[in-house]
Amino acid sequence: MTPHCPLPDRITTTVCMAHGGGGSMTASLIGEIFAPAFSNDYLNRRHDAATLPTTDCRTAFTTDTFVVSPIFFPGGNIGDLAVNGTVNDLLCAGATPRFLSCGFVIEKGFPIDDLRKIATTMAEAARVAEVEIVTGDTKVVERGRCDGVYINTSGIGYIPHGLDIDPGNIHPGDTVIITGTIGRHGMAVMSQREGLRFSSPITSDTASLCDIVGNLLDVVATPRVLRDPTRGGLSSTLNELAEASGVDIEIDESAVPVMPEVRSACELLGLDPLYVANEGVMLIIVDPADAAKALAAIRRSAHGADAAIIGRVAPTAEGRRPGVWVRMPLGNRRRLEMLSGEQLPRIC
Amino acid sequence: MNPCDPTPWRDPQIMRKLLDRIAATVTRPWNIMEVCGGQTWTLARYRLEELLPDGLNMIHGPGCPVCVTPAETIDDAIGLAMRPDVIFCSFGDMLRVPGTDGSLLRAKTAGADVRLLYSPLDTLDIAVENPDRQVIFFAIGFETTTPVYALMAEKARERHISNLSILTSLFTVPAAVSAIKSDPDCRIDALLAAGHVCAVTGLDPYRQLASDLDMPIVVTGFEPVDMLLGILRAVTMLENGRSGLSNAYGRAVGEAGAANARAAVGRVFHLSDTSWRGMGIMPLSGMKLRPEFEQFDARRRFVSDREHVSVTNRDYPDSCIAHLIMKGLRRPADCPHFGKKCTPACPVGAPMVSSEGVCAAHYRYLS
Amino acid sequence: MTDQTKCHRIIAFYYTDYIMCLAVPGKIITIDDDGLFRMAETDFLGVRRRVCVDTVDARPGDYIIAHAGIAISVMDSSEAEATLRDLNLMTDLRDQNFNRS
Repeated sequence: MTPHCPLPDRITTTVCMAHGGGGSMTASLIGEIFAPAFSNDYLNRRHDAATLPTTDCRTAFTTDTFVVSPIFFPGGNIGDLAVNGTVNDLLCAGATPRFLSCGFVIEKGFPIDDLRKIATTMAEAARVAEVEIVTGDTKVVERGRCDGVYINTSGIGYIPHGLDIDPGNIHPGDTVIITGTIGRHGMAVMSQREGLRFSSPITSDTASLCDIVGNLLDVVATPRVLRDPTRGGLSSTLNELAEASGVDIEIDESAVPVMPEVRSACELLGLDPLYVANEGVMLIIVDPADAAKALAAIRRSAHGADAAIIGRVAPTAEGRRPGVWVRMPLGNRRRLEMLSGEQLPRIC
Repeated sequence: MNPCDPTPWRDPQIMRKLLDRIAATVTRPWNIMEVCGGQTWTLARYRLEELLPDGLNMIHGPGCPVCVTPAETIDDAIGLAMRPDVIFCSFGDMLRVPGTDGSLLRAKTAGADVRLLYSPLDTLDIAVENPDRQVIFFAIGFETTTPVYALMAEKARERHISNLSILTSLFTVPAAVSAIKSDPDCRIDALLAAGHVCAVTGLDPYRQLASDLDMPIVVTGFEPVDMLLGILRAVTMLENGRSGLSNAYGRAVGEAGAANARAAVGRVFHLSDTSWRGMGIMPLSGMKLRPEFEQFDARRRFVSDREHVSVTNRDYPDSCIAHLIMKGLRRPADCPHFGKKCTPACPVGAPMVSSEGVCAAHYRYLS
Repeated sequence: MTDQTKCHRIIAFYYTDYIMCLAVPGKIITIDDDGLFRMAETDFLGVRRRVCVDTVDARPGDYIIAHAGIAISVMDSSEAEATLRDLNLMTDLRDQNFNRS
């Protein structure tokens, strides 16, 4: 334990090193904040590991780490982002999300009240998505070693029998659907950033999309692919799909739904909404015969009212690399490059 | 109507009509240079060039400040940013521009305090909030951007803010255009002047330039309809054998320009010989701080004196032909590195960096 | 951990790849003379930002073009209307079966 950290055996107003030390301070942090927020049968046993029921379904398992800055932004915070992000990743595999773990890395000095707000938001997001947070971990690092708080969530979901979602299933002629307006999360975060600040009614779209996927699967037995276009935006997801499936994807620029304020904010900062992050929309590709009923099912779901057909899958021209094309109003088209996606892993 | 609404200026019907009219007007090949990087970006974004009639060539001029800032200046910026007492502020585009070795982005990764700002005016607050640090803004730009630096320097002097300075790399359009046009290999028949530059300078300097160079100059906006209107005016003048100035961006550019902005620039800066990346020093083609504002000159305060060489071999490594492209003598596709060794993710020359750099615009939208 | 911190900050600003020459039209809502500069609360089609208007003669209700936080022009709505009227009135060569050769 660090000597400069006062050690009253109770919750203080900010997080100190002892909160991550594994002793009584850790226990009180968990007991006063996380356990009551996330309470469920699995967590309440307080084992080192949660013991989960078995099933004869295939199991989907995913993990994601959230480092958003600022931690609180219009429309959400890092907590619901962390739950919804992992839930949506499970949904993209066709799974019904069931269990989450969460790991916190907290910077010394982080306000306890903020931590409580984050935990409450996470609990609410988990309730909406009908998942349970069954295990967790807390670590505290010295000031400057992280930016407030980072959260990792991993998730387990069960895939119904007979459902096989795979980019390899995409065929030329398939229909491309987006479930909502794009660019909201990225611009909501950007509006709060030092040096770029602007005021707008834009809120993050962070949401779990269980309703959309549930309604979709009711009418379309096997959609070709589901993806959530998060960091890197719609363009990165489309490019990944085109590359993975060896086909071209052509989207109609004027069909992509964008909130007017998001479009204005992008114009102001010189950004293209196709590259801006989303946290509550899904890109769905279906057989063209299923397109109309898929669209109708999505539109009557929570967060699906603005869904639209934005394009189609096309064969790749002989001798060209597969890619994404944007059809413009005059009929000519431009290639939509994967912009920042290429470089990010190298910078990291 | 709301003149802020871009919709009519992107109307495909109007674009189609203008394209048809351009095609009906031209009878022989012409080369038209658009000066500003923002206009290059529009051409590439809407793929307008492929819709123009054969023989009507657009040449992408040197009007992107990111692309013409010398490598030497980038090196100075990186050196300043790496100092522990410095908060180095910049527009987003400059961060990835390669200097001789590295970029501001790499300096930031290595721990430098590099901050991205939308407006240089924000540096005044940053300087006041951090009295024990030196706040430096990377002041790049053309006539459009120079006024904001003038306001900033005047206010800093008035408020006795002593820990604020700018690293300047400021250019003026007319001198550069004259220099390019005087190159015996130059094949530019008409010029689209950058509307937002003219919004500050007013029309007089361009009327003079059109008369000096004896060619058509059309003041042009940045939306696709604006671009096509500018091109139509230019080819109409060329086909009729006329030179002179035409304003195709009347909603934003008035005869007198922004007089207050120009006055502020005049109080703080003076014209000077300036070095352009890959093109060397061109006489009276840029702006420097006046002696009474020297205290805000980061170069004078923090960078040791050295001889400034004209075209430095730092500018373009490995036979990059960016300077020839910006003069209209080559096209991006002529470069052996284009799309191979040199991409937006890993640029060799500066025009591959900024979204409005000619090579990057070609790579992203034309490939 | 230090590397991770840096990594996320780089991601954060990397995708603000905005264009330096960008100038955007907006409508002045109010003007505040009290601070360092004459600042106009400006509406950019639903998004608001403060813009310095010391550079131009502008009043609330005027349309300006903003660049890097300052106004560089007061727009002329009648010019915009005139240009668009001309463009809309321009004959569509296709309607006339115009022979392009």
